[in-house]
Amino acid sequence: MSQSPVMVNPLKEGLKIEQASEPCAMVVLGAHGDLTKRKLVPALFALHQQGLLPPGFCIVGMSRTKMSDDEFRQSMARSIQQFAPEIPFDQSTWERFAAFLYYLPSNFGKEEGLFDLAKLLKELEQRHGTRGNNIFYMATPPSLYGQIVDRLAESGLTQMHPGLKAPWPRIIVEKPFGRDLSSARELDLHIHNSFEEEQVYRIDHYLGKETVQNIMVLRFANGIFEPLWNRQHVDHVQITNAETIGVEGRGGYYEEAGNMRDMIQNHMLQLLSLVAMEPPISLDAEATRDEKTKVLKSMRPFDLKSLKKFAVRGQYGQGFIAGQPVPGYRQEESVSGESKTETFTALKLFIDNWRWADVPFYVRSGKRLGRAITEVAIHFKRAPHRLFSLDADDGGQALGPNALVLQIQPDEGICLKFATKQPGPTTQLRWLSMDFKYGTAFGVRSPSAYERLVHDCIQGDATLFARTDAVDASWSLISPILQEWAQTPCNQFPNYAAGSWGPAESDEMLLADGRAWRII
Amino acid sequence: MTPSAQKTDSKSFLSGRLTQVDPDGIERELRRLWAQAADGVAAGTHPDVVRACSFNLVLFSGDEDAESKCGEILSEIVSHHPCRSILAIYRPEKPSHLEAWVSAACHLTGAALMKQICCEQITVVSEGQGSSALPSVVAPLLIRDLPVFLWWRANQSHFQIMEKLLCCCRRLIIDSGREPFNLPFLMQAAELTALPRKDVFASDLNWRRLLSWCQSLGNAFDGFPLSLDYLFTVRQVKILHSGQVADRQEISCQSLLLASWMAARLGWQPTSFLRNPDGTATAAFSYQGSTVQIHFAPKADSLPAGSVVSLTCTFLDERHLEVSYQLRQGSEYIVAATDSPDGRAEELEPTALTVSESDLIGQEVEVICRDAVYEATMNMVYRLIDMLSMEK
Repeated sequence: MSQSPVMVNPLKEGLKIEQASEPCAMVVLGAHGDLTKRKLVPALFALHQQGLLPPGFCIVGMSRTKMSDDEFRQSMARSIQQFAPEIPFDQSTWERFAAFLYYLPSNFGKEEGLFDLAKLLKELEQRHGTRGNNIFYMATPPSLYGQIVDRLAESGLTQMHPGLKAPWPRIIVEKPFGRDLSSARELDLHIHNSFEEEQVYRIDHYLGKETVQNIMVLRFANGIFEPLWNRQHVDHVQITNAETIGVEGRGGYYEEAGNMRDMIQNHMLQLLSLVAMEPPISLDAEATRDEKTKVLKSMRPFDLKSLKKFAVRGQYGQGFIAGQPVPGYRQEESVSGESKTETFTALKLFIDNWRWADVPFYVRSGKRLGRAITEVAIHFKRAPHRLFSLDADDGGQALGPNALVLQIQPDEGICLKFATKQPGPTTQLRWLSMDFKYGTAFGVRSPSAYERLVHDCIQGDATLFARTDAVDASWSLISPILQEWAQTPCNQFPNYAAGSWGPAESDEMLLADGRAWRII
Repeated sequence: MTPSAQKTDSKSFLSGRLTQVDPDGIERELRRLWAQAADGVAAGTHPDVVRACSFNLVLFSGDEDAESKCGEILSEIVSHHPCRSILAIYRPEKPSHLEAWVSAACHLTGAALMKQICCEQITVVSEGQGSSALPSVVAPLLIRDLPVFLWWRANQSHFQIMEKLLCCCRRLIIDSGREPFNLPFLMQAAELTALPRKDVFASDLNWRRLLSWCQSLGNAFDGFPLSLDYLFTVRQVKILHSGQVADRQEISCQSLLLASWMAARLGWQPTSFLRNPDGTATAAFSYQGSTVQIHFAPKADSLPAGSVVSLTCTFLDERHLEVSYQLRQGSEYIVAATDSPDGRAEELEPTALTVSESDLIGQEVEVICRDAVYEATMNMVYRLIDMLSMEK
């Protein structure tokens, strides 16, 4: 009997797992690396436990390290228990999972390595019924992406049959997608030589976080927020990504990347685009990504002559985190003693469109800051007429206006700050916050970002992945700053102490506008 | 009515111990206990306490052991689904008596397990009273603007109370598995599914127990081991339920739900539902000019009576697909297997079976919209039972 790839399985309609995933093999290139051990395999195991992997699924780990299938399986079992203790591990579930886990020791940069892979995938197609559908997960250093894609193409693994939707190849690419606009375009060109855009899944794990996805729900499923979500009512928006950790042994990578490439170009701009986008016409992947990309394309380019008013960079020096002394960036392993790499960035951005004209979006991200937190704060305009005395020395200025805070991590939740009357015969006001915490309201474990994203890719849903034009738009925005900063290295580095909230220039940038960063 | 309950302290309340309260002062007493707990936190005698609630869950029961059994289940549920739980116990046959108890169900959370997340659990016992007393205590206890789930853990003899409670509910959850061969109860459930109120809808825990079967059966047609086309060439289905082979007259609610789901999903139109000479039953359906038969029979098994044990499909080309219950290394699974054209057995990844009531309710409360698949299934159940009754 012939297969019916386009028909819907009526027995699965309306069940919890509505969309049937097609069988496939997932090839993890760089299977011996940290990403595979800490994130990817635990996510796949969690999906297996929940019955979310399709029938006819298998995993092939590939790296240069020599290992047998069994050694690989044992290593992955240890990783799950070590790095994902929140996932219940029981032997019988593991054994069923391990039965579709394979390992191929090979040099994937070389042609013959990928021919071995093609042969193995053919065997697995017969053994597991993968129908020849393959997902290639690039868990390798980015410098190898182009080379691997070429080898995959040479071994026939990226081929599609004209006029048929299956078997399909898909590729998952980890950030960074290039290191500036030209290298991103070059990488894209390379990938597009072998893959169509709809087969490319650029993973930005921030978009897989439950709270990030909830931004769209908050905005578009509640009638009360959207009427206020514009320049008429919003004074400004602050997006903060603060880490207390340093470079954690990744000094070599960070020296090349810096905070702007590591956080702003991808995570922060993606987050901003979700906050600022117009309502999509549907939840279809392209409809959502169209709207997000429009935001990025509407961002006002930086005027390099007055860059200091709009972009601040910083690098941490020695300081204290949680009472413990910590070294400065330049004292970190694999970091130059005279490094000019930024570990902190603060930007003032404008979106030149009808909704957001002249509303500043302040974005800051940094390492070794005072507290680990990621949040988006929508600051609303003050009430037009001050009827009540706020009875503070500064007339209530320090207490600020209403703010809606979307807390991304940790303690995911939403908080609304508003004024209320103090009890008693007085008109004194107090600012209070109404808090909603995910962990309190929903007692169930939230899936990890990788669980969600890998599952989406298996299902062929690219909504939460970055599209080529969005990547292009974000690099177009920040590449000029990177170039300018490269030409004019900062001589004041280090310019903030570990445990502080970044360099003074960051505060001054907001002060010049009569505003201040939220005290977090 | 009991005399006024004695005042207890918040420490005892937060520890989960039941505190008896006046039925007309439940909210007042809860407020007092929370205020006292807050004072305790301020004074450093209690750990931080967060009072959490995202919906109301009313569990109605008339069982003798309701206080202990249902109380235990509710505690399990609230640890994963923070809610105000109200255990409403109704025993009309006992001497007249109305009493209420409150307790907090708390669990520790946070990085250092230093924060307590607490939910309120209220127990109202109405004995020897008419059908109005209990709803009049329960309804005002529901937290406004939050969804209300009514879990009907009882048989159909108290439907008059159900009607009163339904006025303030959004969801009715019954369990046809409590009376596994009671087709009239299932028929009533089918009628409830078609409730005229748009904002209230019903579901059945017995249906939720079947979802692993549905999923496993559905997965079998995703290309491996069978292509989707096979689904349209089913000619015969045999559903075995756990039961005494001597009791062939009995058709289990769960078997009927499974058969009805399959028929509704595949567009099979029922033409007859008849008893066979050996006491088993066969339903016949027409589908695109062909006849499909579903045969119901018991099988001696250790599973609870009425539970589906296996489902076997026979296809036009004589291939078979068997979906069956299996216990593997202490865990319960539904396994689908088929004979391949070359005679090899092909088995799908087993689907874990959810069996505990608290897990099933946990899944129920995550659904906030109508379940169109369940409703179509119940419509088919109604038509089939109707045919069987007419045949009698």
